[in-house]
Amino acid sequence: MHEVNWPIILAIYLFLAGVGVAAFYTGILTNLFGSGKYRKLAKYGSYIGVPLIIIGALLLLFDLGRPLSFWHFLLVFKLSSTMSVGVWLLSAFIICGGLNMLTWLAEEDFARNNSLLGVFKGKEGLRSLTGYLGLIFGILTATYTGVLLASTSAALWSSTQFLGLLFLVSATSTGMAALMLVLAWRKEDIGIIHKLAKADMIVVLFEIIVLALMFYALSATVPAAASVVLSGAYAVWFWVGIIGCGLVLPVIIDVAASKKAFGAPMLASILVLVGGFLLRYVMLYAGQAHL
Amino acid sequence: MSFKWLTQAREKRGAKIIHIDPRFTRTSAKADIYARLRPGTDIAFMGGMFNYILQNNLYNKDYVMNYTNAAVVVVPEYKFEDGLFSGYDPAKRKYSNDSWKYQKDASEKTVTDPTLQNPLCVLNIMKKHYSRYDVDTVCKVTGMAKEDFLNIAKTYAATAAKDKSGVIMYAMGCTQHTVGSQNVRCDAMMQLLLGNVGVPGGGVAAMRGESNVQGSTDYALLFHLIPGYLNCPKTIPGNASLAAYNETETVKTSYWVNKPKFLVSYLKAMWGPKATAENEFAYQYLPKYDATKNYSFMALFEALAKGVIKGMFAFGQNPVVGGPNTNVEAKALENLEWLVAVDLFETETSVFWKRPDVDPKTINTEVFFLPACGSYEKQGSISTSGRMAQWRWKAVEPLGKSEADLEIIHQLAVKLKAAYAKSTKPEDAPIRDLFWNYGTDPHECDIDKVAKEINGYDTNTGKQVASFGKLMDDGSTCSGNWIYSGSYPEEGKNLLQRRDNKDTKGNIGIYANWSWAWPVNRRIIYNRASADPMGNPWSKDKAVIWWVTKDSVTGEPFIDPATSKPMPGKWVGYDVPDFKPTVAPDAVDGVFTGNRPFIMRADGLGGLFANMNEGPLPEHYEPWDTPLAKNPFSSKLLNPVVKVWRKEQQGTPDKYPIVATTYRVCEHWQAGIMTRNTPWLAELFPTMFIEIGEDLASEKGIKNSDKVIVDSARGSIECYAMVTKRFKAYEIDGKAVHVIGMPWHYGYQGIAKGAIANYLTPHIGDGNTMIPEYKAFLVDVRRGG
Amino acid sequence: MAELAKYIDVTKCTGCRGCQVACKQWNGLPAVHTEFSGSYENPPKMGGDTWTKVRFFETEDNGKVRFLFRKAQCMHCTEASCAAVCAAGAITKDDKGMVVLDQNKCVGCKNCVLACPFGAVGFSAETGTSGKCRMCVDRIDNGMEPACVTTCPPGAVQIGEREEILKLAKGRVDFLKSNGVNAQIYGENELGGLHVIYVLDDKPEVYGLPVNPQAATANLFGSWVSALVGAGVLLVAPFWLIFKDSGKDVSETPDTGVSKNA
Repeated sequence: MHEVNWPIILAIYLFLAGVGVAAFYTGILTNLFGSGKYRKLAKYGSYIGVPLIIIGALLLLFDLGRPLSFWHFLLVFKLSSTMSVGVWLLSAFIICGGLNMLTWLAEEDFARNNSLLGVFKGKEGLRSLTGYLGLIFGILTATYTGVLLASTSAALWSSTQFLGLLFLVSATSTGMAALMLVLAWRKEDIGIIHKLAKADMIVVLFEIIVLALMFYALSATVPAAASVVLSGAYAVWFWVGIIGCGLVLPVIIDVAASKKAFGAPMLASILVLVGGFLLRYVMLYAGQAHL
Repeated sequence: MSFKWLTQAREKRGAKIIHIDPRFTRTSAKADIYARLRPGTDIAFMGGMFNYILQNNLYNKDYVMNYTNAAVVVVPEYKFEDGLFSGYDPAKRKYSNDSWKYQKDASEKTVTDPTLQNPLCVLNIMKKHYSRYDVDTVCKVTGMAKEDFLNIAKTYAATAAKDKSGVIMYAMGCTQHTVGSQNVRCDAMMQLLLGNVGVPGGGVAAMRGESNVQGSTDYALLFHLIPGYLNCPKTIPGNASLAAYNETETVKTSYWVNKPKFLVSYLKAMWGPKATAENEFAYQYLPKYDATKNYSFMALFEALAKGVIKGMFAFGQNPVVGGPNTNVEAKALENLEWLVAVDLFETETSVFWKRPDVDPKTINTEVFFLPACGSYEKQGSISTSGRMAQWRWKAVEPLGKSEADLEIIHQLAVKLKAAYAKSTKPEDAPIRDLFWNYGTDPHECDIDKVAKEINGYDTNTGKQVASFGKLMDDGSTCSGNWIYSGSYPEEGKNLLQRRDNKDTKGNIGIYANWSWAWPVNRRIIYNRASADPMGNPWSKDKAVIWWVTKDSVTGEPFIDPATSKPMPGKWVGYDVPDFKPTVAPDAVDGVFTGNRPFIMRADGLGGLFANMNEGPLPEHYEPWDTPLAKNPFSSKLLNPVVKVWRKEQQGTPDKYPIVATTYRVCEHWQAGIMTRNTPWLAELFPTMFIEIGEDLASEKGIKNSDKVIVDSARGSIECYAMVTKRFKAYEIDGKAVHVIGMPWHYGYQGIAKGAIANYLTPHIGDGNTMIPEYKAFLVDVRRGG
Repeated sequence: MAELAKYIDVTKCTGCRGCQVACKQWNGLPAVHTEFSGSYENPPKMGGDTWTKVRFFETEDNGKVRFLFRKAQCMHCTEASCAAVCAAGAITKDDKGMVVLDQNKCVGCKNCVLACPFGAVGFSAETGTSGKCRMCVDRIDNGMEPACVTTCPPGAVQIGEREEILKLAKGRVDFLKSNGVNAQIYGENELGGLHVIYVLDDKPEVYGLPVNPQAATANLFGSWVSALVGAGVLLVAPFWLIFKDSGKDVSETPDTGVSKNA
């Protein structure tokens, strides 16, 4: 294992951030286009998204050389610094998503007698507003994770303009998979699960296209960096883990499986999640390989 | 550091830098011309240069004819045949120099032949001797490319022009061979041939391995000298008494005629009031050494190995790392009853029982460690190659209990004197009566008093003497070291402490008021040679001193202040004349002949032909460990006068086909204990390695950074391999000879540790000085674990 | 105050590494543990504790071997990538053009380490912050020269006003060219102009320098734009298409719509 400045804890963060915000905005978007028929997705989206983002933010903190000085970030807002933009996006998402989540929690059975949560009961306007804001901040957050890596001098990350888009698409895929997994595990709403699966197939197709475009461009401009992923130390992770498990196999399962079983969508969604994590891990580490 | 000045010479004066070295180093990278030669073949190369210059008549004729012994005729008994000069005793491995003497006529005058027809005149002897050093043979032996050799020969021979000069800079790569002294002698002969001695930008410049090597020889840290390059008395009849010594030692035709004054003044400094005319000024207190024995470094360790030596002081010395043949020398230390190690850090020598594969229980040595402080924690002077003795002040207090060497010696002297104070034993008398008035507090030595005593003072009045010209042989003066006399000429005026950094006159880099150089602040020695026999500079560009008959301001002759009579003239210029200032170019005054610049030599002429232990002219012999079966220049493979202690330890090419050399890197210092304990330096070069060419490495299946084992006839080491383009095989006499190199800084102590290179080197040294042959030996290399 | 620049003439450098040690000594940087590196270079990379190092290169053309040295350190770019990405506001440019990292403000996120096109910034585990050459601004502010400049024995490293340094460099390049050397300047226009000007005697890539380096933020705008365009596509294709309300009654299509547990 070569020496890295941004280690595994950041690969986990990038993954969690992607899943979290995407689960959230998947819920918002499906409910929005579905004219309110998919409230459950919006609710589950907030329950998945907000805690994952908070955990991710804590991971970021622990990775800092001086974690207790993190508040320095809050003194600065610099558009040229994607990390600065990201800090504020994360903060905004946590606030909006958090408030949104509280409006849902207030309706749960256990919250009936809770005075704190009671404040958020029935606040549809708040729920709407925070939902839409969370959607916007969420999409930007999913994107910023890729743009962050691209705004460096690592050849693998900065030689194309596709990385932000790739992470956004991949995040969306993993967000959908997270919702699928929760529903399948709770054995709920097989119909919605299949809709999510269909949507995920489209996203996966999109992801394959973006990956192909990106690695084609990389192979042309910085072949040494590209080969670390395509044929070098990370080749197996890439082809078997990311392409095979994370993209191709889930699609096959979704197409071939019976429409009634919960097991198949659960497996497919787990594979998508694993593939999504591996994408972050491989890109992060391969980008820091010494050429 | 000196490269700063080379860079400046190149930039400001168009100088060319020629670098000749078996290794392609950082210096080679910056040189204008780089050429390599096989380690141990310097004389072949220089001989080739002599041949080229003499055959093509490129030498500085006026300089050579007037200022060297080129025209002197040698006795007809002189011969050179098949690698041996006349007068060799093969049983004793020694020469008698009777057949190398100058021919004398009926009136005992030296015979010369200015027409250079006589085959026995020095220049013709040289021509004949070096006719065997033709370009092809030289390139065959050295492995130097022919075009490189010719390029260097042409470029450097151009300094024979009167308005050009060149300096030859050398270091241990030149001296640490069985022919090391003759290597340096070649440099001196070259400079004489080209007229480069005594002129600005000329000379032979020794790049010392240690900042105070000049000081160490000036103050005779050598067994055969006493301070000021006086010979240490020996147990021979000619040295049995002061009178006998003076008779034997004094060369009456050179400035050395004053030796008795220097010696008596030294004895007065040593024994003060106890040195009187009645007791030969305590001459008998001076230890005399057995002339049949050798007390040089390797000889001491051979004696130590036989158990002859019981106790040892290792003062800032680390023989386990720095001495040759570590297996022999480190084992020899085990025979000591006691060892005092004085150093800044715990050296490998101070814990010699900790070396790998040694059981401390088998060693009975009692070891004392005295912590010494560093140069910035004490004051004193160091002397450079330019004979300048710069004073340094203390910058910080020493750490812990560490003390300056001066204080350590002071304590020893004070305590020993106290111990011997009541003794009546004759062997105790020299210490009992030692004049030691530098303070009674053992931990505080009055260095100012020491400095004043070195300069010398009148023993009656206590006044400092102005210079060594004022030293007397009647006991009225004392001086610890006559060459430094004049450095502290008046109370409160320690000239070594001066710091005026102005280039005083003539823009030739004299800086006369920065510190002080011996003798009497002359900066360019033998500067009489910068002017022609008439007293005018050979060239305006190379002027140092010249003869004037009238005061340039008044137009009047000079008046002698002593007699108030007009003087014929005087020598004036940019430097202190290395000559009696009032002796005209055509005059003779005592030992000074107006047109003979080399005043320390008996005939005042530069010695192209001069006595050394292995002959009057340098001749190429192979290193003891040689890759060749035959010396192409003669049938004598090894220098005929070197001492061979351990014949069985000679490396031969059947087992050890690769030539090796040792050297330094600028990041580490000597035997490494100071730099390997400095983290910022340890990180630069953390461990031992060899530099090995890509060709040899691929032959042996060695990749860069592999571990390798290097074997020689003396020992083995394991270290890393640095595979490089900068080392390549040589073609020597038609076959490929590989050369590897390695730094010798590492040992088992400190932060940066590594194998000791000197496990590989032999116990054999130069024919005149016994300096070990560290620079050319044979090894084999194989991949390690 | 006028813009300053450091001048480094590789033809004069003797590779002694005095600059490496002087920098550590002045800035109180710790030595790092090193292993045999296979060359004269050590430590292997610049880092938070090693703000400058000499790089060594061996080349061979037509049998002629060359041994080249280049002192590497922060280039004090006009378009400084490190300053652009620092989210803690710890890296700023002063009026002399020097890019200074304030270790009191740094939080140790290492974004600058990855952003630098020259690999000149590193992270120091000891301080928990990143670190890099700061052009000894404390020495300059007190009328002294940077530690490396003061130490360099052959005068290969100098400091002066950028205009003067460029003149000096061009003069030196002209002199070298007249002696048949393939000399060139590096740093005049790269990244808006660097405040370290090299006089090289060969192409930058021979000396391990990036030809035409880009700032880390060069693709920033394009990256956001392409992502947001993609976001638009995402909104349409998987979401709107699959989840849009077709207006059909829930009861007409089983297994869609809300379940009893919604």
